[in-house]
Amino acid sequence: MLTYIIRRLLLMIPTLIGVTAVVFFVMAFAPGGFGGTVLNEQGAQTEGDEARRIREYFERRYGLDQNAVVQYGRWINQVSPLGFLNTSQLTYTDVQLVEMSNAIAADDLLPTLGTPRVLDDLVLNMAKYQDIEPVAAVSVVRELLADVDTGLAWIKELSPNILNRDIERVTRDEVVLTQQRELRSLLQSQLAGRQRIIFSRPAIKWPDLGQSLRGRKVTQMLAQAVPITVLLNVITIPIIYFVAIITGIYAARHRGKFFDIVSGFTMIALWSFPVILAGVLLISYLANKQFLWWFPTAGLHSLEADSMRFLPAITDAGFERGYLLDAVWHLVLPVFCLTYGGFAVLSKLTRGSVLDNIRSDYVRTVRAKGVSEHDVLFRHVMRNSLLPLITVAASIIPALFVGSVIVENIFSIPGMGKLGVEAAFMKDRELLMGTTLIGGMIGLASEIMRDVLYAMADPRVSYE
Amino acid sequence: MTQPPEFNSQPPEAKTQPLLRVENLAVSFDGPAGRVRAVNGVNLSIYPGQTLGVVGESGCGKSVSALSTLQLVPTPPGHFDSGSIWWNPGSEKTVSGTVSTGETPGETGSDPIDLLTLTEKQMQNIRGNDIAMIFQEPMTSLNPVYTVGEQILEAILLHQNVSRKQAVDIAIQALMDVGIADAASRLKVYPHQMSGGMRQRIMIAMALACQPKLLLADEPTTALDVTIQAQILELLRKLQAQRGMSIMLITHDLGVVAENADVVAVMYAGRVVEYGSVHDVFDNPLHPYTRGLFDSMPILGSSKHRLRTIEGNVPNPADLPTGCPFHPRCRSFEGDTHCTTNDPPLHEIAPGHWASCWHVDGHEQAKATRPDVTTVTQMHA
Amino acid sequence: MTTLNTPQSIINKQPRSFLAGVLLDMCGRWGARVGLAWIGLVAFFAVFGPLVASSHPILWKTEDGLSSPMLEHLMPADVILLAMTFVAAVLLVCKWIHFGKRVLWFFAIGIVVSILSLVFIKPPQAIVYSQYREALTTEKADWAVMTIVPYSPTDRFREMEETRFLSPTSKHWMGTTGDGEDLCSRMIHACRIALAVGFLSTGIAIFIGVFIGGLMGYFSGWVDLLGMRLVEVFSSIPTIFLLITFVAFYGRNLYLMMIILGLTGWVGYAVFTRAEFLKLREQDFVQAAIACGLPLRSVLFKHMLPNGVTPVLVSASFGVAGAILTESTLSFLGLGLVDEPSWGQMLNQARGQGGVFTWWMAIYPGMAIFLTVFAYNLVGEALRDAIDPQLKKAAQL
Repeated sequence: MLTYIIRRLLLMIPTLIGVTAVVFFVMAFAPGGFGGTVLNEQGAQTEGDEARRIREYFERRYGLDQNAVVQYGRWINQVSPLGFLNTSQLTYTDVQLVEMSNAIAADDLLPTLGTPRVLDDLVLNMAKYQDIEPVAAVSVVRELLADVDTGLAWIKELSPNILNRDIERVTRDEVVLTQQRELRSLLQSQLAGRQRIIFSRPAIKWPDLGQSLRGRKVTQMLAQAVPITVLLNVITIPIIYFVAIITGIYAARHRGKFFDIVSGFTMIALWSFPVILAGVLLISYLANKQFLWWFPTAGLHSLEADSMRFLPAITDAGFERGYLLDAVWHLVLPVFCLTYGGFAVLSKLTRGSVLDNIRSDYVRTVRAKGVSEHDVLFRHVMRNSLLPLITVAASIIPALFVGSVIVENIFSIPGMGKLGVEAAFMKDRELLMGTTLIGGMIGLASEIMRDVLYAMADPRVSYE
Repeated sequence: MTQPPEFNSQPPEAKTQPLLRVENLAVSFDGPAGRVRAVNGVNLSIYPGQTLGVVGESGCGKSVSALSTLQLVPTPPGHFDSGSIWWNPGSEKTVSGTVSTGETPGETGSDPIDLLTLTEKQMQNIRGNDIAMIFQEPMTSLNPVYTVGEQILEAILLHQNVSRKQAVDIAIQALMDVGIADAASRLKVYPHQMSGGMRQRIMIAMALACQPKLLLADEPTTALDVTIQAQILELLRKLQAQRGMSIMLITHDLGVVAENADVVAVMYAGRVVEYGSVHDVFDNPLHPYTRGLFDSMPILGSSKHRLRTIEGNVPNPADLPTGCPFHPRCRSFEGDTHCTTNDPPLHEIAPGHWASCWHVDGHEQAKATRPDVTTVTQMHA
Repeated sequence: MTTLNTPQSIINKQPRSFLAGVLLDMCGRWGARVGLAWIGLVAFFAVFGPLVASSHPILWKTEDGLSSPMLEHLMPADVILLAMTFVAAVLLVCKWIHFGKRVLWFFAIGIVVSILSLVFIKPPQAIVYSQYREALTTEKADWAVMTIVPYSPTDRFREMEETRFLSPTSKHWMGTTGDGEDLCSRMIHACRIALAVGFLSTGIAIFIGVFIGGLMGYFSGWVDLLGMRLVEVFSSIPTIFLLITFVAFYGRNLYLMMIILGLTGWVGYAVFTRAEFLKLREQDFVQAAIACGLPLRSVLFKHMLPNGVTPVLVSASFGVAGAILTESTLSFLGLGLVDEPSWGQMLNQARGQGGVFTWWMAIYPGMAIFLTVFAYNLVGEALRDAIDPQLKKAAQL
């Protein structure tokens, strides 16, 4: 069993690569691309210099100016825990840094071109980019700055789509020193954030999901959002199963009677009822100052929730609902929206499965043994009837995921669904890729869990 | 007339009273074509220690008769129209208290009880305890999610007042009785890990673990290989001899009946058409249907013998022919209006040998008036 | 003994094909009837929408004489739909022509009509809805025959500010939107999108799914292995994100949306078809067809496909429902079409503009989505119930 799980986990990797590749190339082939490298050349005129520099920084940081396949390779390397180090991940000892500063100070040309901090930065970037010792980088930088032509050629190589305007700024200038200063700043901005994967340095590292366009680490953002979505689903799934199993069994036992027909019909109706309508109606009628304001309109907690005690209590100030009850109060409507549509499929499945089993040969044997109807149903039929319910769990989870995208957006719950939609709207590549990766992982993990559960529940299945 | 009382072949010690007596049983099912009679006035008796072979084509009502005995016919769609099934255990084991006081006040268990009138609760005491049943499909007749041991233990713990440890011992003994080696470890095995023959042995062990007086074996060997069939039948014979229980052996295989049964009932279209000791029926088949069955049976070694089939198909129970249900396929039928209008009753042609056919000698007196089934039954009861 | 009432004879039914039997059985169920009736209504509005709800008078008399602005303003798509509905009706009546031939005719005429309409029908680009009202009030026009709902979906009543956010009145049966458009008219015109999204996306999905699944099931081996990986990848992508990504990156386009819904929705059909083909491949009639030396094309499409396609029908019905839900969800999230009315987009507008909730903007489109999805699900359920006993019957034979 353990080897089976490990094998399945390993098989997740190619699938996840496929999943992320599809999303990645969908974005990559879109007109405009992620950061808009095409827009860059036309739009730069209207854009502030500073904004342009920041965007260029990001482009260099993620290699957006390279072709899509290379970009995807970079992304995979960055996410994979087993991969090659990135130049930006190189670190230097204090001794190396001091040696470098000394070498810069000892140089005849460099100190005239800028402050020591700026030069340190430039040299360090060069050292990282070329993966050479900082001291060695000093001479490289000096050579480039001494000869404007080689410097410019190098810059052109670093970023093929550098603006001619910037180049002209350097060459038009008559005074050599100023020229060199300009060259320095250009070189610095081209080197800053430029990453190169060093294939000579394979390593085991922490997966890095990159940085969102909003400036925060994607890992951090997901770490906040994923638990919320998972919480929603963890509350929802047992409720769906509980209600569906009870009604399914009851309907099966009273087949063709009133309850069976009515519950079947009602559940298809509930299943068809769009979550967007339910959400809008609930939030507008039950969480609206216009009508009834019974429930909060947004979020998972009240603002003051952190200062509350955990359990509800009656204090001097009256009833205090506490953290737990506050959370429950916020969750009622979203969870309702997520659950009601799920009953139909499961209930119908339970009903059919119970009916099949009740008519089966082994149940006749059990009856012939003299087992009471109650035991027949709950000891023998139930256990067998629940097996197909495990199988559909894996298809329920992605469906719930879609549901939570809608619910989170209606009820402003900062979960994965909301994050993903926002990322798509903002064309935030790293965030969208991160969300897709995690979403895919949850889906695949739930499939593995289903298979393991099934093997545990059904002795006929084994993965040896 | 419909109650065959005594048989020549009957073991002398069992002469007293039948263990099980099915009287005029009629069961119908609701289907898409309306209510359909599956069993139509069946009469049978089984004496202690005896094996009754019930033969007939599929759909003739043999399985339904057996299932009715245990009230296992699903209702709905099943429906008991008439009849009674008298159970006469004769000794104290049966119905400890609950049934005997309810059904036959004043008497202690020796009087027959009508199984069809028992409540579900009372019936549960009989099932698996006094009357056990094994089925045709060993592959699907065991619950796949429980081990063999759990399923045997369930029956033992239900009917016998023993501890779990004792029950395990009983189960192991039961497995050894059906010839399963290494019984203790086999208890922990799941049904799917066993072969068909093995599963049928488990079924038998489970059925016999509570020492029932009557075993209903519904085509126990049909789904098995020929060699395994022989083993299972041999096993049943051996266990019957050891325990002196009665067996109702339902099959469509005449060879199986010839080797195992004492008494044979041939069924056609929901009724018994011929009834008698195995010698009588096999040596001197009276009913054209029985004769047809024998003719269609290959005889080993005789290559010149050409098999004769019974022409036509088993009639649709929703659309039975009028009169004798066999007449459209009957070779003796000569356009006789009696055959097309009147259903022949089961009549004792020779002592202990009964048949229902207008063309059999000795049936002539019955031709004149068709006797009322109910009154005759009451007379005999 | 109780008397027996056995029916004297079983009514002998004419043997029908499996599929026809299933469809007949399905139509016998009242759930399916209700569902089909609603879908029929939606389809009616999808085709005749421009004739039912339009600000253009059907016929009016001005100084220039009699004219029909409504007909002049019909878009090529409107004309194609109307013409093809007419052709379909005519072909349905022509029972003496072979069915396959009629289908062929239908498509042939369809192509011709489409090209002609796209080339020759050039409705006026700038539409001034207020001209009719002005003309009628200033008596430039003598009289005008209006449609049942005399408003176009994009008629914003520019000249009348007060028509915004009107709750249902006798004039505007379902109220108006924040832009002053008549909701009833928008609802009617949105039918076309709802129907088209459902049918086209499911059609694409079925086509891809059955094709890939069929290949996987028939060839198995490495084709199956490769296909299953593809299935796995596509079933693990959070579809909604992919859809949102598509729309966000490629812009809002109805046809694109349908294609994407199809491209992401084929997985289920592929799995179904694969399982079905794996079973069929082992069956004697397929083995016999192969043994007879029939070409692969014939084995696959003539012998296997018709037998393996029934379960796909059931999931297709649910698939249409799902596609409609997804489209409305995307529209609701603000990723739908901008100009063309869609139920989800109207529902989205119900909330907003300062948190004011306009109930008619939620209830009517919301219920329309619900009823349409419900209708498809009812049909799907009925189909499944119809197939189940049929399958059992077929297994017994």
